Amino acid sequence: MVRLACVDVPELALQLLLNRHPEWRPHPSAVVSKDSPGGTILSVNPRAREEGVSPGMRYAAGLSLTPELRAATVPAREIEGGVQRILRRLQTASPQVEPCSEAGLFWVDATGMVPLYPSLEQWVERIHAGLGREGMYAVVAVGFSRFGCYAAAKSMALTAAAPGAHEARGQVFSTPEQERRTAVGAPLGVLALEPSILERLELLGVRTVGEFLKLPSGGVRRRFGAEAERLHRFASGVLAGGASELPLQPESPEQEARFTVQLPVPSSETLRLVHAAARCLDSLLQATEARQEMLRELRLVLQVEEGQAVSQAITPAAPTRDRRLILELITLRLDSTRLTGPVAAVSLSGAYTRESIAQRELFVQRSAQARAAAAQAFARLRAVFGNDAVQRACLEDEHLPERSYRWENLEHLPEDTGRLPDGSRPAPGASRPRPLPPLVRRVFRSPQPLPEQPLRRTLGLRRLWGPYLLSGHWWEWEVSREYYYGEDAAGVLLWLYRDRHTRRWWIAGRVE
Amino acid sequence: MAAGAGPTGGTGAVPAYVPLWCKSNYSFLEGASHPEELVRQAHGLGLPALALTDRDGLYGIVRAHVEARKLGVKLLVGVQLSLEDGGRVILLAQDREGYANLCGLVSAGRLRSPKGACRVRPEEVLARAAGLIALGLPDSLDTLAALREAFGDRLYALAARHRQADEPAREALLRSRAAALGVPLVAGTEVLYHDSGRRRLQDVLTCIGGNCTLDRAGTRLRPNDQHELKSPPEMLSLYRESLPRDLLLEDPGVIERTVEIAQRCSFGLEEIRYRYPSEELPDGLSSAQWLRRLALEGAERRYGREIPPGVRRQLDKELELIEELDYCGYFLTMREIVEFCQRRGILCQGRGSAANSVVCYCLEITAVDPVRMQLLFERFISRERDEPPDIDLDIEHRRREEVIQYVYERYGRDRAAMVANMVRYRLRSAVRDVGKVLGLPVTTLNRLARLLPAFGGELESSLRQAGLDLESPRHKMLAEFGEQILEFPRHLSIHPGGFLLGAEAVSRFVPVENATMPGRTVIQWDKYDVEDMHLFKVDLLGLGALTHLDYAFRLLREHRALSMDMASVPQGDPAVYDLACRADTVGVFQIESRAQMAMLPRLKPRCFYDLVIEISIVRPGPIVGGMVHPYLRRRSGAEPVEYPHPSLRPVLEKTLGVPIFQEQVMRLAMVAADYTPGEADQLRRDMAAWRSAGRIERHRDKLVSRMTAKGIVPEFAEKVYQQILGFGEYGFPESHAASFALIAYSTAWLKCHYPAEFTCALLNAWPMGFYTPSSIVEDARRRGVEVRPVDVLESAWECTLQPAGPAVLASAKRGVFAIRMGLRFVKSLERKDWEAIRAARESIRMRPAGPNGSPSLQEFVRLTRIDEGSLAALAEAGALRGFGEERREALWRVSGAARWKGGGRAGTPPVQPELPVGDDELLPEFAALSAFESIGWDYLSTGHSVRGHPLEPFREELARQGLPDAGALNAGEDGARVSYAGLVICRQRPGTAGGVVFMTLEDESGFVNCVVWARVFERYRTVILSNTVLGVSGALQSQDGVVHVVVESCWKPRLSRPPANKESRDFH
Repeated sequence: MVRLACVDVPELALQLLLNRHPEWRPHPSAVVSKDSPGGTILSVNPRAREEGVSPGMRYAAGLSLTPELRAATVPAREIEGGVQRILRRLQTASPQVEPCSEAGLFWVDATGMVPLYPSLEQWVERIHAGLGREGMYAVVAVGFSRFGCYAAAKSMALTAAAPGAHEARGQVFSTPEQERRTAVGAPLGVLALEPSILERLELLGVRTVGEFLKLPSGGVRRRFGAEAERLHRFASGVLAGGASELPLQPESPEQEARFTVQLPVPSSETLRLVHAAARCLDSLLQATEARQEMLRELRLVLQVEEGQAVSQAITPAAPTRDRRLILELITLRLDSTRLTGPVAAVSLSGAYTRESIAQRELFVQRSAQARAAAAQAFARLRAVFGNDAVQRACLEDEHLPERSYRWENLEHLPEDTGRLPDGSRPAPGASRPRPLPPLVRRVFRSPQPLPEQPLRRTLGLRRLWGPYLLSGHWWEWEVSREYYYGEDAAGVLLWLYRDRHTRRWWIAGRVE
Repeated sequence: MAAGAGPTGGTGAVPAYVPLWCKSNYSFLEGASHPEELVRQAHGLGLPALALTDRDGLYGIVRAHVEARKLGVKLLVGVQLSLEDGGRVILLAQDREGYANLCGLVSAGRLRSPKGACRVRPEEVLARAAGLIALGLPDSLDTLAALREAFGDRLYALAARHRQADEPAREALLRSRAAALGVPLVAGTEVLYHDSGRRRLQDVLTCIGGNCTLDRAGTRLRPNDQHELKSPPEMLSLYRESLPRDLLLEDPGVIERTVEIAQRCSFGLEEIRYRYPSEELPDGLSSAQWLRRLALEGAERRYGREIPPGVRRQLDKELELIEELDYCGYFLTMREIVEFCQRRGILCQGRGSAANSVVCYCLEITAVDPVRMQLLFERFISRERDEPPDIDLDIEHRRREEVIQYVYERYGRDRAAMVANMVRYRLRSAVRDVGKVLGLPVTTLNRLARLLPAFGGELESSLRQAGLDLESPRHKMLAEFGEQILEFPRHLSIHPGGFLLGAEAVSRFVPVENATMPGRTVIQWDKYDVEDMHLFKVDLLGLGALTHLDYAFRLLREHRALSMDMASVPQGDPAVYDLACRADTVGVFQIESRAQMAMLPRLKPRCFYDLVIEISIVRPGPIVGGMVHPYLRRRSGAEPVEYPHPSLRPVLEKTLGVPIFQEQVMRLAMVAADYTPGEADQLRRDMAAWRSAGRIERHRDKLVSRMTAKGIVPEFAEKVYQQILGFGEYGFPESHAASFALIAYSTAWLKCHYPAEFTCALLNAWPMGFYTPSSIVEDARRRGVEVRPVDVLESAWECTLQPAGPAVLASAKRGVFAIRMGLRFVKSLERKDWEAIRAARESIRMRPAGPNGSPSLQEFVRLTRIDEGSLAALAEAGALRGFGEERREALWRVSGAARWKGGGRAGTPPVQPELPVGDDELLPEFAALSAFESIGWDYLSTGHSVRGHPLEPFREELARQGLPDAGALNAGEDGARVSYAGLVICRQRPGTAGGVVFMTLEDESGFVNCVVWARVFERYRTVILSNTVLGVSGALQSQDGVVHVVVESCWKPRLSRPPANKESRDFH
């Protein structure tokens, strides 16, 4: 007989939040939809519930009940990460695990567990223990039908007094009839119906799954929509002993597309390493093609025989499956990599992107355009000198000279917009003007201090213009400077400043 | 300071200098000083004059004008005007015409722009250049030539310097352009604060305006702190030393020219001569003659053909003064508005100090006879004060808009505009805005803001009490800047009903802009500015109680053929005073609050004047001033009535020797301390300006020494001063209280004699007053009035009266009526739904009934075509019971029935329902609603229940726990230990009560008042705030019929089910 388990990690977002902030556990705490007073409270811990805070309230309303209420958001990616961790953990308890669309809920095949464990109760305990190591609390129901064990798990989650309580954390049904009785008597809240629908059914006096099942299916659809009807049918399955339910659709652990070649004799010769990498690349490209995807980035790992592995990211100019091009980039990178010892193994894995028609066309018809060549050269530069080899200055919205720009890595060649640096387009037929300011200020990488001597004598200044004052940033550390332009005897224009706090002089740059 | 820039421009005398580009904090979120601070600083620096040139407005000019007049500083009136092309120009008014042009330009720019913005077209500036001096800025170079054309020699190029590195280049360009056009240069800095210590606050304001944090503000902040008001030597240093001479030519006159400009501007705000609109008058009469005629005619109506000599004398005195001060037009306008209301049947009544005037009484602007009540006319108008009177007119709130639109229509859009209300920073808004700028988490700020008092209080200690660590640098900054920003103007809103009316366009003497409400325009000055400028203001205020009265009188006319108004309500009815003494005053104007109800059985009002006192005594002024208990003791005979000096007897006699009204405080000052009427009025104004420290204190020595000199014992003199101090603006003038007492008496009379009409009208006038509809309905039911539930086949939109009892005709004859609740109380139902229901109802009545004899619900749904939500609300409210189905069945039937393609409504071509509901659809079985559930559904869908109180189904359960109902509890003995559970209908923490919370709990038998001391509240805060049904234990305090539970502990009652939710009304 098919045995099925439903594992529910209730209030997953709250559990993740309290794992992130364990110091919040004794205090009223809540997950909110956004970090603002208007954010909706999504879930609360028992302390908050004691203070009268409940999901659906605005954070501001919760605060009015207890000024101690701690709250934060839990981003979707954090929840997804939590789901993946739980999934991996459950896959150690059963090879067949199906995550539900409801985050924190899983179907687990328990059919083969009977001969492996003295009892299913002990198997459930193992699941609890495993999830406990992840810092998670769950309820588990083992039954015969999807809805039966779902309803039982949800009922336990609804009635569980507090996270951490050991009672009512697991239930194993011995007969389908026992499961059916439990499911029919379960509160309607176990169904993932929209709160507004639950409210309307509550008004009609429909409070249990059994009462819900007494409503005509067509009437449910007409009044509450297709999703409610789907749940109605889903719940009806328990009456049929689960016969009409979908079989389990387990998720298999993702196989990482990583290919490794062990070198027969550890070596640091580029040629040998390239050869090994080429073998990995062939396999990788094969797998890539099978996925109908393109390689966006490669990770090359060189396992040094007696040392730490060297890991390198290589980025082609555009997503590609071009073996020759990729191999050339690998060769360039290997040429420039300094190894601390002979390499015992070479691994290659990739990051993918979905193949588009345009990309396929690019792949088939190699463009000879200058832009593609430039991109290729750019990629080669980065392959040879590293990914931070090419940088550009970006203007920042700041008054302080040293904060008014920053360097950033250039990862792609910028698009040629055909515009001049000031954003305008050149006149038709006109040659591109080179608008150079009459004077260029060369800013030193860091200002140079001047000795505390009379300035004019130290620098031999003939004239000094200023001061131009710059002050502010008082909320962190206050800056107050007097800037001057000074001309020395040789006619060189210096850009100087005096720090008003330290009373010291600095040369910030030169005017050419 | 400048290193080696060459000679400093000589060592001669420092030239005089006038700052021409100053922005105060009325350049919202840009300037960081109050206008007064700028003027005081200018005075301190020895500057002869100062120009206030706020951005696109004259919001702060009156504040500056008042201060400048006091200190003898010349104030130039100007504006920094934003142009549509992105440029800016500074304009200064030379003369009255220039000022009118300035106001006109700002108005034009504001009226065409969305709220908060102002964009003036350059051609408008050129067209209205007369009487104005223009200062061109570097960023408006393109328009310099055009400005030159229009302004001629009244144009200057402003070479602004702030020691910024990019200024020399810009100035060089400006100089070359100016030289080419022959425009002289003038020196100036953009002044944003009076002292450089405010620079940080200016940064904070910039961030608030830019909605960013300091960390992300970047170049939105000014690069340095050179925007303070500079002294002449500092200006000399700035203009003679700092710039490279090979780039800029010396211009020795550049500073002196500021003085030349100041001399060319002769305009001052005192030149604004305001003429009140005087329309065409009959028989070629002057406005004074016409006013006299109307007043005398009115006096005959009020007093009969033989006008009493005292009244005649007072009339003559008032009319003479009104004519002398040229206020006749103002009174005629008020009379016109009142006449309009009378023509339209809109109830209105003057309130406030206008009730001190017999002219107002005769013109029917007010309803209180000031001669009979011996009210002080000087409180209204005083020759010494030379200040326009202020008449506030209460209008029934549902019809106020009609009167406002009349005023617009009568005087024209350009001659009428509403007075502004300046929204200023208070503790909470300051913490929220400054905290955001400092990058503190919004959730934290919200928590802090909630813990701060709504008004008053000292920020730093409040933040400390809220648990903020003030050792943290950012928290320190929050306290520092939060404190500094308090009282800064934040933005403009609209005064509730203040109008400015003019004989000429209002925009000639103050800029006008759009209000948020469509169709409304607002001037840039608030009521204090209007008062300081001696302008006339008409206040048209909405009052729910007048609507209530109007509705009740209409019901009496309709159902009993009784034609009544306020004037015909029988006076001196003992039953009305009995009702008041019992504090049976739910819904009675002014004396219905918890505090008033607690006072009524002690004060025991037996005449109209007692009501006047009752209304006035439950006010923060008398409470804080310690007048309440002495008055009550003297009234009950427990304490002898004594006067500190025989001369004070006439002043205090009416109130048993205890000052209760504002007028008494003024008279006290006049009689005991020989204040002139003008001085007494100044005292009143200083009492009102309680936020401005020091204004009231300056009266202390004068009052005490003069009273002592008259033989009044120093202790009493000091006591009087302390009472004045406590009075603040929280005391009522006697005339105002008397006006309100008239309305209070009328509503109480209706409640006493026509409770059904009273309740029906009150429900229809709601929202108003102190109580929710559920409490109003409960109160009516306790009084034996039958209240019937909403029913789509019976109810109208509003509540209506129906003959009561089973013997309908007989009861109608007897004049007993029941109230049928109106559909307006069904939540989510809209008025257009009612129109559809009414049409459908007519159709149903015209057709044969359904199969079981009742009209068919399906037919109703088809005919009304109202949406599913509204139908469900009707089903939940039980309003569909006329179709023969219980609420759950009706709810199931209508759910999904009204999903119409295209959402057709009555009057549009019929369409088929997407999912038609057939009569033959199988109806599931639903459990019948229990009594408890029925009441719950009522509250859920209509906010009240006529079937019972939410606690009624729990009475047995509560009795088993030994908990009495309100009736039994209120009959308990003083000092008894009691426990009680009731529904919280009000939580109140008045600012005058030192943290004490007053709660009113309710059950089916009545109210229970609770007093929760601050420490008890803090301990049970969560329980009190989070439970709608609350249990309290404590000591019963029962004195003079006033019963309170002094709460010692609070708890959540043990109930088998949660009761229906009823919202409480909380006040802070």
